Amino acid sequence: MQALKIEHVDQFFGTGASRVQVLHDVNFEAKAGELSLILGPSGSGKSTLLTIAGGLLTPTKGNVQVAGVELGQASAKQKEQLRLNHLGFVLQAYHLLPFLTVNEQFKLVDHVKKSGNLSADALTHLLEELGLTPFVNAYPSSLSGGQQQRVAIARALYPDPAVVLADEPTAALDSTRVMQVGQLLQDLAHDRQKAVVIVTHDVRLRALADHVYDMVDGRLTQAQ
Amino acid sequence: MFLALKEMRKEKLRYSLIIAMIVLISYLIFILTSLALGLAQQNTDAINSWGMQSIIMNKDADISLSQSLIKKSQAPSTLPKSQAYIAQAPIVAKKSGHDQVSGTFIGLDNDQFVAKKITLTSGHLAKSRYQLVVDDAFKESGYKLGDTFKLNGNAHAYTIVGFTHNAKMSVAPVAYGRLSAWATLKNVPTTMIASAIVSTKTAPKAGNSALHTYDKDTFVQKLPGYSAQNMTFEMMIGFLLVISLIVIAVFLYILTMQKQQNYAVLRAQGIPGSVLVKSTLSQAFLMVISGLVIGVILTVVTAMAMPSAVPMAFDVPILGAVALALVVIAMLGAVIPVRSILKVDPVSVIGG
Repeated sequence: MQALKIEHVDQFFGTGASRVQVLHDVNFEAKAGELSLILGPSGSGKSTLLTIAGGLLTPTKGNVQVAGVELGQASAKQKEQLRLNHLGFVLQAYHLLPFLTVNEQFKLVDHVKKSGNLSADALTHLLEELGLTPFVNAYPSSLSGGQQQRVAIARALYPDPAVVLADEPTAALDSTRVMQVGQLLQDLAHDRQKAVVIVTHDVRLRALADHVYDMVDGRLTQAQ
Repeated sequence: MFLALKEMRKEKLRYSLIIAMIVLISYLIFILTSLALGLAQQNTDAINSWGMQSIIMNKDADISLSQSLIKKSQAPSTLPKSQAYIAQAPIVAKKSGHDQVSGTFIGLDNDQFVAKKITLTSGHLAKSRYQLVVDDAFKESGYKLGDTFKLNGNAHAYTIVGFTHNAKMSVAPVAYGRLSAWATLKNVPTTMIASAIVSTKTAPKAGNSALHTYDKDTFVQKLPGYSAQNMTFEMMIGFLLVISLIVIAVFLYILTMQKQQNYAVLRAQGIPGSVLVKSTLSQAFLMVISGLVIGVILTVVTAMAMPSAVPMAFDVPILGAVALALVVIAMLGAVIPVRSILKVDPVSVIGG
């Protein structure tokens, strides 16, 4: 089943003479249990595609479905609920709340989403898996970049989403951490049956992906 | 509240500084309000103690007790129980070895309601022309029961036969005496009977075309300097409230701007804007309540340390209303950054 389906999406920015088309008839599917990698240089439109997939931007044309919900028909509130319940974001700059400890980053989700989150045991297990158990009471400022990225991944997984969207998740990591985080995201797809979509220009992640796409000048094609 | 508390706990210094600003503002507002109340009370303590609702004065006196004179021929032959003569004269008490005391003499008829309303802390009411019941402020200048002294350079000596508390008019201590002493102290002919007639009724008839009835509020507002003084304090308190609005709004706005990225991420993750708005409003509420509590404690400590000559008064409902106004204003100040929280664009955190 497709956790994320994008059909014939066009995206324009600007008006009149400055109107620019950044996405051209993009079609894409992400299935549970698979890691999809979208590779492309800066300005190719891959981040725009991610914001559309995440319901943060409404495409000029085309359809987007997340967990069976047609985003074009959804209200802002419904999209918000969809992001909270079915989508997990892993961002380039981690963006953990600096005034919350690792544990409290998850408690915040509990305050907003009362049910459907990982159980206490499952969270403990996840933190163990990610090597974060010693840091549960630490603030982000005392963690390394790799540790913060792992917390961000755990934070994205905590609401138990169907789709994980990762935006340049390895951009701020050294080369040894790149493969570790890439492996972690692959495990999410394969072991936890998540539909994981990574947009990146880091070709080192290619070997870990089930499907690889190239994004060039707003055109998405499946890589050979 | 979760986010608000956690952030304040982590960023102690930052929030302590903002709370310190609120403490200083609330402290200043409370002190000014207490002084305004204290001064207002010292203007009207004696008048309030009489239990009057209206006053009949000479209509050409510009509602000034010191300018009003009522002739015997203008007054009724007998006053009803609801009315009483009061006869005002400025006095300076002078006794060797004591400070001079400037005050207000109020001549009364002991059989009328005003005299009966006077609460004595010691002694008895004046029984003869040269006896006085004076405000406790005379004690601070060294006067005591049984002391005799001269008033306004008058040849006769007057004796203190009683003390009363909080008997002040236009901030000056009052000396209550007999009506018969007034003409001499005021230096008016004996054809004059008093300065005014006060009444417990709201609108008694003046009974003579030369006289006019004024309600208590009109009379009080026309006390020398009373309105100007109150307006000055009200302006200062008003400006301080506006300043507190600006301070709280600016600080919260700066904090919100610094957290735009965090808010954008949270919005991207599906955290409703209402959660972030509640967090900011909760922070504003917690800061202003903390600031108010500390401000109240400082005010009480200051009041205890102040000498009794400083007129400070505490009226819990009025100070409560001022505190409530500060809370409302802080919440209004918090609404300004709330707009920027709601307008935050989650897309801004996606992509390089």
